[in-house]
Amino acid sequence: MTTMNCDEFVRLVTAYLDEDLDAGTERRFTGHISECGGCDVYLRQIRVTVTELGHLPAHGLTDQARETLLNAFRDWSAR
Amino acid sequence: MRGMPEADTQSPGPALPADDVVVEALRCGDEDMFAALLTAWSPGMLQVARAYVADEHAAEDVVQDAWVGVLRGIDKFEARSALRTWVYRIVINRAKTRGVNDARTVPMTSLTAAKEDFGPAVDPGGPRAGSRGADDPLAPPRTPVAWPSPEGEILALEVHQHIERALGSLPARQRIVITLRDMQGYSSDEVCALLEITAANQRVLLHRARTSLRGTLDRYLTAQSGKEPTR
Repeated sequence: MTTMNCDEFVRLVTAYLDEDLDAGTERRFTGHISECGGCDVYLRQIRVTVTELGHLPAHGLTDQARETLLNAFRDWSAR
Repeated sequence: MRGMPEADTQSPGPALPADDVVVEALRCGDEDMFAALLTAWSPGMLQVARAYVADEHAAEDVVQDAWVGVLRGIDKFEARSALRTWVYRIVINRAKTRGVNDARTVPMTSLTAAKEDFGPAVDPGGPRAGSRGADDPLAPPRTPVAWPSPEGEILALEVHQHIERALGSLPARQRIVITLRDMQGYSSDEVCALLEITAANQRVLLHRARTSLRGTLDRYLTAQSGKEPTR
Protein backbone atom coordinates (compact mmCIF):
# COMPACT_ATOMS: atom_id res chain seq x y z
CA MET A 1 0.00 0.00 0.00
CA THR A 2 1.55 3.30 -1.05
CA THR A 3 1.40 6.12 1.39
CA MET A 4 -0.49 9.29 0.64
CA ASN A 5 1.17 12.68 0.64
CA CYS A 6 -0.45 15.94 1.75
CA ASP A 7 -1.15 17.22 -1.77
CA GLU A 8 -3.07 14.10 -2.64
CA PHE A 9 -4.87 14.24 0.70
CA VAL A 10 -6.07 17.78 0.07
CA ARG A 11 -7.17 16.88 -3.46
CA LEU A 12 -9.31 14.05 -2.13
CA VAL A 13 -10.95 15.76 0.84
CA THR A 14 -14.20 16.53 -0.97
CA ALA A 15 -14.50 13.03 -2.40
CA TYR A 16 -13.81 11.63 1.08
CA LEU A 17 -16.54 13.73 2.67
CA ASP A 18 -18.94 12.58 -0.06
CA GLU A 19 -17.97 9.00 0.86
CA ASP A 20 -16.95 8.48 -2.72
CA LEU A 21 -13.43 7.06 -2.38
CA ASP A 22 -12.78 3.43 -3.22
CA ALA A 23 -11.92 1.27 -0.22
CA GLY A 24 -8.18 1.24 -0.86
CA THR A 25 -7.93 4.99 -1.33
CA GLU A 26 -10.05 5.59 1.74
CA ARG A 27 -7.68 3.44 3.82
CA ARG A 28 -4.71 5.44 2.55
CA PHE A 29 -6.62 8.67 3.26
CA THR A 30 -7.48 7.77 6.86
CA GLY A 31 -4.00 6.34 7.29
CA HIS A 32 -2.57 9.70 6.35
CA ILE A 33 -4.73 11.45 8.98
CA SER A 34 -3.26 9.30 11.72
CA GLU A 35 0.29 10.27 10.81
CA CYS A 36 -0.10 13.92 9.75
CA GLY A 37 -1.35 16.41 12.33
CA GLY A 38 -1.57 19.21 9.76
CA CYS A 39 -3.92 17.28 7.51
CA ASP A 40 -6.00 16.21 10.50
CA VAL A 41 -6.47 19.88 11.39
CA TYR A 42 -7.15 20.71 7.77
CA LEU A 43 -9.93 18.13 7.44
CA ARG A 44 -11.57 19.39 10.62
CA GLN A 45 -11.41 22.94 9.33
CA ILE A 46 -13.12 21.93 6.10
CA ARG A 47 -15.86 20.31 8.18
CA VAL A 48 -16.26 23.45 10.28
CA THR A 49 -16.46 25.54 7.10
CA VAL A 50 -19.24 23.32 5.75
CA THR A 51 -21.09 23.48 9.07
CA GLU A 52 -20.83 27.26 9.25
CA LEU A 53 -22.14 27.57 5.70
CA GLY A 54 -25.20 25.62 6.80
CA HIS A 55 -25.74 28.09 9.62
CA LEU A 56 -25.68 31.27 7.57
CA PRO A 57 -28.80 33.30 8.20
CA ALA A 58 -31.30 33.13 5.32
CA HIS A 59 -33.49 36.09 4.49
CA GLY A 60 -36.94 36.07 3.00
CA LEU A 61 -38.60 38.39 0.53
CA THR A 62 -39.28 41.98 1.53
CA ASP A 63 -42.85 42.69 2.61
CA GLN A 64 -43.39 44.66 -0.54
CA ALA A 65 -42.28 41.85 -2.85
CA ARG A 66 -44.42 39.40 -0.90
CA GLU A 67 -47.46 41.63 -1.18
CA THR A 68 -46.90 42.06 -4.91
CA LEU A 69 -46.77 38.29 -5.35
CA LEU A 70 -49.87 37.64 -3.26
CA ASN A 71 -51.70 40.17 -5.46
CA ALA A 72 -50.35 38.42 -8.54
CA PHE A 73 -51.66 35.15 -7.16
CA ARG A 74 -55.15 36.62 -6.68
CA ASP A 75 -55.16 37.93 -10.25
CA TRP A 76 -53.88 34.61 -11.54
CA SER A 77 -56.40 32.48 -9.65
CA ALA A 78 -59.25 34.71 -10.85
CA ARG A 79 -58.21 33.96 -14.43
CA MET B 1 -23.77 11.99 4.21
CA ARG B 2 -26.54 14.54 3.98
CA GLY B 3 -29.93 13.77 2.53
CA MET B 4 -32.15 16.05 0.60
CA PRO B 5 -34.31 17.98 3.02
CA GLU B 6 -37.97 17.16 2.54
CA ALA B 7 -38.99 20.71 3.11
CA ASP B 8 -36.89 23.85 3.22
CA THR B 9 -35.34 23.34 6.63
CA GLN B 10 -33.97 26.86 6.79
CA SER B 11 -37.41 28.35 6.71
CA PRO B 12 -39.68 28.96 9.63
CA GLY B 13 -43.21 27.68 9.80
CA PRO B 14 -44.80 24.27 9.50
CA ALA B 15 -43.54 21.69 7.03
CA LEU B 16 -45.30 21.69 3.68
CA PRO B 17 -47.57 18.87 2.60
CA ALA B 18 -46.65 16.52 -0.23
CA ASP B 19 -46.11 17.97 -3.71
CA ASP B 20 -49.38 16.74 -5.19
CA VAL B 21 -51.33 18.37 -2.36
CA VAL B 22 -49.46 21.65 -2.81
CA VAL B 23 -49.91 21.66 -6.57
CA GLU B 24 -53.62 20.91 -6.34
CA ALA B 25 -54.09 23.67 -3.76
CA LEU B 26 -52.33 26.21 -5.97
CA ARG B 27 -54.39 25.22 -8.99
CA CYS B 28 -57.53 25.70 -6.88
CA GLY B 29 -56.44 29.20 -5.89
CA ASP B 30 -55.52 28.46 -2.25
CA GLU B 31 -53.80 31.70 -1.31
CA ASP B 32 -52.71 30.39 2.11
CA MET B 33 -50.78 27.62 0.42
CA PHE B 34 -49.10 30.09 -1.91
CA ALA B 35 -48.21 32.29 1.07
CA ALA B 36 -46.74 29.26 2.89
CA LEU B 37 -44.64 28.40 -0.17
CA LEU B 38 -43.38 31.97 -0.41
CA THR B 39 -42.29 31.78 3.22
CA ALA B 40 -40.72 28.35 2.95
CA TRP B 41 -38.85 28.55 -0.33
CA SER B 42 -38.06 32.19 -1.02
CA PRO B 43 -35.00 32.32 1.29
CA GLY B 44 -33.35 29.43 -0.56
CA MET B 45 -34.40 30.85 -3.91
CA LEU B 46 -32.83 34.19 -3.02
CA GLN B 47 -29.55 32.44 -2.16
CA VAL B 48 -29.64 30.60 -5.47
CA ALA B 49 -30.39 33.73 -7.48
CA ARG B 50 -27.68 35.63 -5.64
CA ALA B 51 -25.07 33.27 -7.05
CA TYR B 52 -25.70 34.71 -10.51
CA VAL B 53 -26.62 38.35 -10.05
CA ALA B 54 -24.86 41.37 -8.68
CA ASP B 55 -26.78 42.19 -5.51
CA GLU B 56 -29.67 41.38 -3.19
CA HIS B 57 -32.00 43.69 -5.05
CA ALA B 58 -31.43 41.94 -8.37
CA ALA B 59 -31.85 38.58 -6.63
CA GLU B 60 -35.23 39.64 -5.29
CA ASP B 61 -36.31 40.74 -8.77
CA VAL B 62 -35.31 37.34 -10.11
CA VAL B 63 -37.19 35.49 -7.39
CA GLN B 64 -40.35 37.57 -7.89
CA ASP B 65 -40.14 36.93 -11.60
CA ALA B 66 -39.62 33.22 -10.96
CA TRP B 67 -42.70 32.99 -8.74
CA VAL B 68 -44.77 34.56 -11.49
CA GLY B 69 -43.28 31.94 -13.82
CA VAL B 70 -44.31 29.23 -11.35
CA LEU B 71 -47.91 30.42 -11.46
CA ARG B 72 -47.89 30.52 -15.24
CA GLY B 73 -46.47 27.02 -15.44
CA ILE B 74 -48.13 25.18 -12.54
CA ASP B 75 -51.05 23.91 -14.63
CA LYS B 76 -48.55 22.10 -16.82
CA PHE B 77 -46.36 20.77 -13.99
CA GLU B 78 -46.17 16.99 -14.47
CA ALA B 79 -44.28 15.95 -11.33
CA ARG B 80 -41.34 14.52 -13.27
CA SER B 81 -39.19 16.07 -10.57
CA ALA B 82 -39.86 17.31 -7.07
CA LEU B 83 -41.82 20.55 -7.08
CA ARG B 84 -39.02 22.45 -5.38
CA THR B 85 -36.52 21.21 -7.99
CA TRP B 86 -38.84 22.41 -10.74
CA VAL B 87 -39.18 25.80 -9.01
CA TYR B 88 -35.41 26.05 -8.57
CA ARG B 89 -34.87 25.37 -12.28
CA ILE B 90 -37.09 28.32 -13.03
CA VAL B 91 -35.12 30.51 -10.63
CA ILE B 92 -31.81 29.39 -12.08
CA ASN B 93 -32.94 30.05 -15.65
CA ARG B 94 -34.20 33.53 -14.80
CA ALA B 95 -31.13 34.31 -12.73
CA LYS B 96 -28.78 33.24 -15.53
CA THR B 97 -30.61 35.40 -18.02
CA ARG B 98 -30.50 38.32 -15.63
CA GLY B 99 -26.84 37.67 -14.87
CA VAL B 100 -25.96 37.63 -18.56
CA ASN B 101 -27.93 40.78 -19.20
CA ASP B 102 -26.15 42.45 -16.33
CA ALA B 103 -22.88 41.17 -17.81
CA ARG B 104 -21.58 40.45 -14.36
CA THR B 105 -21.40 36.71 -14.29
CA VAL B 106 -20.47 33.85 -16.51
CA PRO B 107 -23.47 31.77 -17.56
CA MET B 108 -23.34 28.10 -16.67
CA THR B 109 -24.49 27.03 -20.10
CA SER B 110 -21.88 28.80 -22.16
CA LEU B 111 -19.00 27.00 -20.56
CA THR B 112 -17.40 23.76 -21.44
CA ALA B 113 -14.08 24.22 -19.75
CA ALA B 114 -13.91 27.23 -17.53
CA LYS B 115 -10.54 27.58 -15.93
CA GLU B 116 -11.88 27.31 -12.40
CA ASP B 117 -13.44 23.96 -13.20
CA PHE B 118 -10.37 22.06 -14.17
CA GLY B 119 -7.37 23.73 -12.62
CA PRO B 120 -5.40 21.94 -9.95
CA ALA B 121 -7.60 21.61 -6.92
CA VAL B 122 -4.86 21.90 -4.36
CA ASP B 123 -5.48 24.41 -1.63
CA PRO B 124 -2.84 27.13 -1.83
CA GLY B 125 -3.22 27.61 1.89
CA GLY B 126 -3.52 23.97 2.78
CA PRO B 127 -1.10 21.55 4.29
CA ARG B 128 1.93 20.71 2.20
CA ALA B 129 4.14 17.74 1.97
CA GLY B 130 6.91 17.32 4.50
CA SER B 131 9.52 20.00 4.88
CA ARG B 132 9.19 21.47 1.40
CA GLY B 133 7.79 24.73 2.73
CA ALA B 134 10.62 25.13 5.18
CA ASP B 135 13.23 24.70 2.45
CA ASP B 136 11.82 27.41 0.27
CA PRO B 137 12.42 30.92 1.59
CA LEU B 138 9.52 32.21 -0.50
CA ALA B 139 7.06 29.72 0.94
CA PRO B 140 5.85 30.36 4.45
CA PRO B 141 5.05 27.35 6.60
CA ARG B 142 1.87 25.76 5.38
CA THR B 143 0.97 23.50 8.23
CA PRO B 144 -2.54 24.48 9.30
CA VAL B 145 -2.82 26.07 12.70
CA ALA B 146 -5.79 24.87 14.73
CA TRP B 147 -8.56 27.42 14.91
CA PRO B 148 -9.62 28.70 18.28
CA SER B 149 -12.83 27.10 19.49
CA PRO B 150 -13.71 25.56 16.15
CA GLU B 151 -16.95 24.05 17.41
CA GLY B 152 -19.11 27.00 18.22
CA GLU B 153 -17.63 29.61 20.53
CA ILE B 154 -16.36 31.55 17.58
CA LEU B 155 -18.01 34.85 16.95
CA ALA B 156 -20.79 33.67 14.73
CA LEU B 157 -21.77 37.04 13.37
CA GLU B 158 -18.28 38.02 12.28
CA VAL B 159 -17.60 34.59 10.90
CA HIS B 160 -20.77 34.78 8.88
CA GLN B 161 -19.83 38.18 7.52
CA HIS B 162 -16.46 36.84 6.42
CA ILE B 163 -18.09 33.84 4.77
CA GLU B 164 -20.62 35.97 2.97
CA ARG B 165 -17.93 38.28 1.67
CA ALA B 166 -15.92 35.30 0.50
CA LEU B 167 -18.97 33.82 -1.20
CA GLY B 168 -19.27 37.09 -3.10
CA SER B 169 -15.81 36.66 -4.56
CA LEU B 170 -16.38 33.11 -5.82
CA PRO B 171 -17.01 32.49 -9.52
CA ALA B 172 -20.75 31.98 -10.15
CA ARG B 173 -20.39 28.26 -10.88
CA GLN B 174 -18.58 27.59 -7.62
CA ARG B 175 -20.99 29.74 -5.70
CA ILE B 176 -24.12 28.03 -6.98
CA VAL B 177 -22.71 24.59 -6.21
CA ILE B 178 -21.64 25.41 -2.66
CA THR B 179 -24.94 27.22 -2.07
CA LEU B 180 -26.94 24.16 -3.03
CA ARG B 181 -24.68 21.60 -1.35
CA ASP B 182 -23.57 23.24 1.88
CA MET B 183 -26.08 25.99 2.53
CA GLN B 184 -29.17 24.07 1.46
CA GLY B 185 -28.18 20.42 1.84
CA TYR B 186 -28.83 19.11 -1.67
CA SER B 187 -26.98 15.90 -2.56
CA SER B 188 -24.37 15.83 -5.31
CA ASP B 189 -26.72 13.88 -7.58
CA GLU B 190 -29.43 16.46 -7.13
CA VAL B 191 -27.04 19.32 -7.84
CA CYS B 192 -25.78 17.62 -11.00
CA ALA B 193 -29.35 17.15 -12.22
CA LEU B 194 -30.39 20.67 -11.32
CA LEU B 195 -27.39 22.34 -12.96
CA GLU B 196 -26.93 19.77 -15.74
CA ILE B 197 -23.27 19.24 -14.94
CA THR B 198 -21.23 16.07 -14.54
CA ALA B 199 -20.40 14.54 -11.17
CA ALA B 200 -16.70 15.24 -11.72
CA ASN B 201 -17.39 18.87 -12.53
CA GLN B 202 -19.67 19.26 -9.52
CA ARG B 203 -16.97 17.80 -7.30
CA VAL B 204 -14.26 20.14 -8.55
CA LEU B 205 -16.46 23.21 -8.22
CA LEU B 206 -17.47 22.27 -4.67
CA HIS B 207 -13.90 21.44 -3.74
CA ARG B 208 -12.54 24.74 -4.96
CA ALA B 209 -15.32 26.71 -3.30
CA ARG B 210 -14.83 25.00 0.08
CA THR B 211 -11.08 25.38 -0.17
CA SER B 212 -11.42 29.04 -0.86
CA LEU B 213 -13.80 29.62 2.05
CA ARG B 214 -11.65 27.62 4.44
CA GLY B 215 -8.77 29.88 3.47
CA THR B 216 -10.84 32.95 4.29
CA LEU B 217 -11.84 31.58 7.68
CA ASP B 218 -8.28 30.54 8.36
CA ARG B 219 -6.93 34.03 7.76
CA TYR B 220 -9.59 35.50 10.00
CA LEU B 221 -9.50 32.95 12.82
CA THR B 222 -5.75 32.53 13.08
CA ALA B 223 -5.39 36.31 13.17
CA GLN B 224 -8.08 36.35 15.89
CA SER B 225 -6.15 33.93 18.01
CA GLY B 226 -3.13 36.25 17.95
CA LYS B 227 -1.05 33.96 15.79
CA GLU B 228 0.46 34.88 12.51
CA PRO B 229 -1.94 34.13 9.67
CA THR B 230 -0.67 31.26 7.58
CA ARG B 231 -0.95 33.29 4.43
